[in-house]
Amino acid sequence: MSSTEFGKVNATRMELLNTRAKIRLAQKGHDLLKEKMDALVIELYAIKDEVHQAQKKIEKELAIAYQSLAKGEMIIGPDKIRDLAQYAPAVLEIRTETISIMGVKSPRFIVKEVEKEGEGIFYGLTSSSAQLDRAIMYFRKTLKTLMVIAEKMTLLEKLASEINKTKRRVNALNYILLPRLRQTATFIASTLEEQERETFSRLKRVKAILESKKA
Amino acid sequence: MSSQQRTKIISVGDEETSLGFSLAGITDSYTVEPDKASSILRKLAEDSELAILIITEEVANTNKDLLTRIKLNPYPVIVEVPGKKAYFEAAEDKIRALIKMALGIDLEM
Repeated sequence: MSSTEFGKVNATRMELLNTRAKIRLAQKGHDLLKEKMDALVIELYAIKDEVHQAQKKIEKELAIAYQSLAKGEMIIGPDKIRDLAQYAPAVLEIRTETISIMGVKSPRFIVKEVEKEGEGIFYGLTSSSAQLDRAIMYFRKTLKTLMVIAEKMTLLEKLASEINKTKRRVNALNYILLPRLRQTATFIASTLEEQERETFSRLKRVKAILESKKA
Repeated sequence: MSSQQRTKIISVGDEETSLGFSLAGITDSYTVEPDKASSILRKLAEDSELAILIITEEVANTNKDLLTRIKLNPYPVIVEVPGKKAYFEAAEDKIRALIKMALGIDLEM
């Protein structure tokens, strides 16, 4: 027999059938993976806008937060604020979960707002200022938006990575495996055909000899 | 599945970032220079209760390799926040770069 890139392949009909089965399988796998990739791309497109919006939102919220903080520092003094920061209660309780999108696992944060009575403002009237209230409010807002970004940015990165992996497999099937298999099948088919012709012409010669012997 | 829930939120950045997020009520915050941040980042990466790590863009840029390694694990989730100037320098570019690498398309955001 002869070697294709698979090494020695017997040019038999069984092999031909097997090879054709492999081709069908590889083609099916390729088509499925391509579908998966398309789905992943759609998800990626959807998410990227959400992340972008959230980032713009954070810029706005942080700008106000820092401004108010600076003004508050001018009014009360930075040391006082630092002391107050010690007593700031956690306003968000988070739990983590793993969600799966098209086989891609990604974290999800379940955020619960812990608004206990009277704990919203944790400092007295005299030792603070409206600027501080505003600063705290906007830092809290930023924190909530950050949760969203944390979730979605991670998902974005994971989707991108999965798309890369899937793309490589699709290409490997399409440009390496399938052509080889097809080449093998063609080779076997043409070898078989050659053998048939050989057999046919041999039979013809034998027949001719027998005929001449008879005569 | 980890039996222990991750609930902590910790920030690593400049003074204003630490102050601001402390006021917002996160678990803890660290103020460090970006180039001195690696040891605290390494330590926090090992914290099994840490869910979200907030870092400033400056810290992120100075510690790219370390952060890439930390990101190999599912947790802690790392989020970048602009430093005290309050606008993102390169966040948009990051998204574009990711998409370009994945799809080969350079998007206008």
